[in-house]
Amino acid sequence: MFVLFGFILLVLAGAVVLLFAMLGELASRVPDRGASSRTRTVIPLETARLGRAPGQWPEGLAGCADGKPSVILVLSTACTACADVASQLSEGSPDASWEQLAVLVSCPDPDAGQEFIARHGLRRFPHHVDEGGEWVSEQFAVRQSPVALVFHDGRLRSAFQFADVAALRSTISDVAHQKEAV
Amino acid sequence: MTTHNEPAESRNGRASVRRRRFLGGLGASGLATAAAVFGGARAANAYTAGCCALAYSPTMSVSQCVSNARYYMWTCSNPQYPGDRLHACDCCEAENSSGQYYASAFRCYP
Repeated sequence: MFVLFGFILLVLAGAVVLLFAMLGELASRVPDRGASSRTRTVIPLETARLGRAPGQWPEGLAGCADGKPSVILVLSTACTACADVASQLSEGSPDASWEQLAVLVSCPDPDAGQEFIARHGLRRFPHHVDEGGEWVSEQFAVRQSPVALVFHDGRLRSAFQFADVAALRSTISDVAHQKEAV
Repeated sequence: MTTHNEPAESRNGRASVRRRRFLGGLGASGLATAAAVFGGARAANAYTAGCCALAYSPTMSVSQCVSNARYYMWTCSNPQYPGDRLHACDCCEAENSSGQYYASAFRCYP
């Protein structure tokens, strides 16, 4: 009798765990409510050191040193909007396949940065965990997030503050077309 | 040769002990599983203040935070108002002399 009771208890516990797992899966498939309230404003970050070519690139971002245009998103573990930006890059989202993209995570300690990268599935992109934000602040005078750094020929060409990744892509594309036209 | 007829009371007692051990084991396994699933993750950035995601509930001012030998200071901007200094916050994590982060601070503009 008691064995049966224990078995039923085990089955019920398993069912509860399954229920929560299903709720979690459903929640991840429902569009983010923040998306509708998220601003599409993209503002140039004028304090960044435009024109600078870093002497040394972190291993994870070495691909940005070659001539191809590339974009580094500067995120931080200490920034709530950065988690929202990271969620916009989740697998299956339109911006998940942005080929030019790399991610830099500024953080108080490397474990926190790696945990942020893993939690948001950002390993798919070239990435660098920047302890203390030292590299990005020394090279480009950037100590804030979320920020996008746009490179061409290994030089910082423009920098933007943003909240919406799709709006950022659109702005970067427009700026590139304008430059081509000139 | 002797036969031993065990009293029913003794048999029931042993069965009861077995049941308790089984159910106790079941409970312990459940707790261990719950601890592994829910307790393993690092409780990082548990506090939100302004646009800061802080490791600790803010208990000091930013000037106190930056007076530590080591600290992490970063500025976040509110996604509703990017670029607007009125809607940005400085987020600070203070590190003690043994290299452990122990307190947080923040200030928003103005």
